[in-house]
Amino acid sequence: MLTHGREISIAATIALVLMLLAIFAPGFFALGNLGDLLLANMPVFIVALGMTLVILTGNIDISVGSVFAICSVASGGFAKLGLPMPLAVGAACAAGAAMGALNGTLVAYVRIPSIVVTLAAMVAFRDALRWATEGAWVQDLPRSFQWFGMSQTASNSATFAAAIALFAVLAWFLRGMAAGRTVYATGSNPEAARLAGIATSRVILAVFMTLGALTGAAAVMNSVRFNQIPSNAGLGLELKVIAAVVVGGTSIRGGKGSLAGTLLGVVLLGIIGPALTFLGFSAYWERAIQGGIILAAVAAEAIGGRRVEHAGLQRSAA
Amino acid sequence: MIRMMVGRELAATYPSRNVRAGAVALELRDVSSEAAGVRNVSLSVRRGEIVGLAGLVGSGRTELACTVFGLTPADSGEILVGGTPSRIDSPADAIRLGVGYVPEDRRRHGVVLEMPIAANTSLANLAAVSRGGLVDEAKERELAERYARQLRVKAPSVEIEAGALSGGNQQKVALARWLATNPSVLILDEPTQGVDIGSKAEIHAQMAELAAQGLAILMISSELPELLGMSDCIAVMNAGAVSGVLTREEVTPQRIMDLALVPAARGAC
Repeated sequence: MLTHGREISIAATIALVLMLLAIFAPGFFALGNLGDLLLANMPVFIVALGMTLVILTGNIDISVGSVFAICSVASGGFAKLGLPMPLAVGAACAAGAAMGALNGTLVAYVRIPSIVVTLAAMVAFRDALRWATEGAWVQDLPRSFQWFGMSQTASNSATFAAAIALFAVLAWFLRGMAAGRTVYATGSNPEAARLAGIATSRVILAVFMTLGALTGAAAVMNSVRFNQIPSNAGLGLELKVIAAVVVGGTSIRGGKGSLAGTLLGVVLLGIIGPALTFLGFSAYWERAIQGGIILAAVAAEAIGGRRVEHAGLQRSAA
Repeated sequence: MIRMMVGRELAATYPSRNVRAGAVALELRDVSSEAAGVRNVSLSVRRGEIVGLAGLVGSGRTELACTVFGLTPADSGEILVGGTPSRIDSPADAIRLGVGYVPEDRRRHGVVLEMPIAANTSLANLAAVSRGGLVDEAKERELAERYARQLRVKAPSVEIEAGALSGGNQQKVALARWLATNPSVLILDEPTQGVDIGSKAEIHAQMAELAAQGLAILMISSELPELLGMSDCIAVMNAGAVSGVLTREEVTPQRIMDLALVPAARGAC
């Protein structure tokens, strides 16, 4: 269920990068820089928590970027309508969960592969938003929306605390709760899970809805930091999120992985770009190196997975 | 020759049993399921009894098991569990009623290979090892260790992933999961297929032991010696229907094959 080996190797890679930075570019550790990095990666992290659940069940959701955009625009819209901030946050999460429910229903009950469902959803949601907003950005946001109506520092601290709380609750859910087990079982062996009395369709619907709600939360946390909400928010978010989850050791085939791994994956992919800049490499290397890391992670999983399969086959033949 | 290969008397691999069949634990009355291709099956299994389900591959044995277990619910007829007419529309319903099913293809349907033995053992009855939805790991461990000991699972610890075990031991873990649900009826689908001889004898001994404790067992098997050696009576299936039922006294391999090949009158066990 857990891949501690992977978590240790990512942690070691992060440590190596940080060490290089400490030696060659100590300026990286300036508080302002770290704070910016943290905030910039917060949406990726929160969406990645939900994505980990979805990938653990053996599914994938590539529509999160579009859901993120709709929730961003919706949260601004609700705030402009005069909805109090807690309600606007709730409404954005509900909108995300509703879109997640649509995806989840099509995957779990109509049994369409999740890659197809969410590819369609990615395009449809994005274009629906474009049609609704006609490409206009949400502007003139009320004061209560900016920084949740608090000071910038207070808002940032609250966002940070919320992210930690979400991580803790979900990690506890996955490791400690009986329902968390059903997520792993559904991804690892759906047939066996079904025979053990687990309603796998309901599990799949639930993880898609959770991902949607978390995407809504991430969208609000991101939107309050700016005084406009672009209608093309979250472009490419799905790639960053899925990359972080996979680098974090969650098997793309489901059933294996952890949220701690995802946290490390987000950190590694989050610092690698700025680290290159600080170390004096051209920024053009960033994506190439990110791609290399993802490839290495997937290759490590493929090779590891094959070894397990072979061992199993040999034993069952014996 | 066989004795030399096996290292002991072959006949001795089947445990001798002193059957004291009790009340009817599972009764099927004219059960049909269009989706599964099960046609008008009537059958009953008593507490303490092992009923063999014979038939050719494709004769509807596994399909019948799936119907009783709620995977392909019956659309007509009656299923009585412990004498009470019961609706079984999902595996969860079956588990609640005390019906367990150990499937044929354990790598695909039985154990969850990436999960440790402990998590595999508790999977069908997580409620028993959790409080308020939270899994009590000590309790789970204890449960898994108890069944691992009882079934003689060969593993250094219950924290070992099931995928690392031999076929026979995986089958024992699959069995442990169902015993952990405290079933009153257990359906075993080819319980010893692809299992090494040592584990096979142990699984048979366990079945005898469980039956002696009052469990009703419905055993699907394609192996005639196993059917003859373990069953108190044998129902033979043919094209989705039961073509005949033979008691221990009347049963011969020839009779089983006749019923498996030729559609004949239905009977009740």
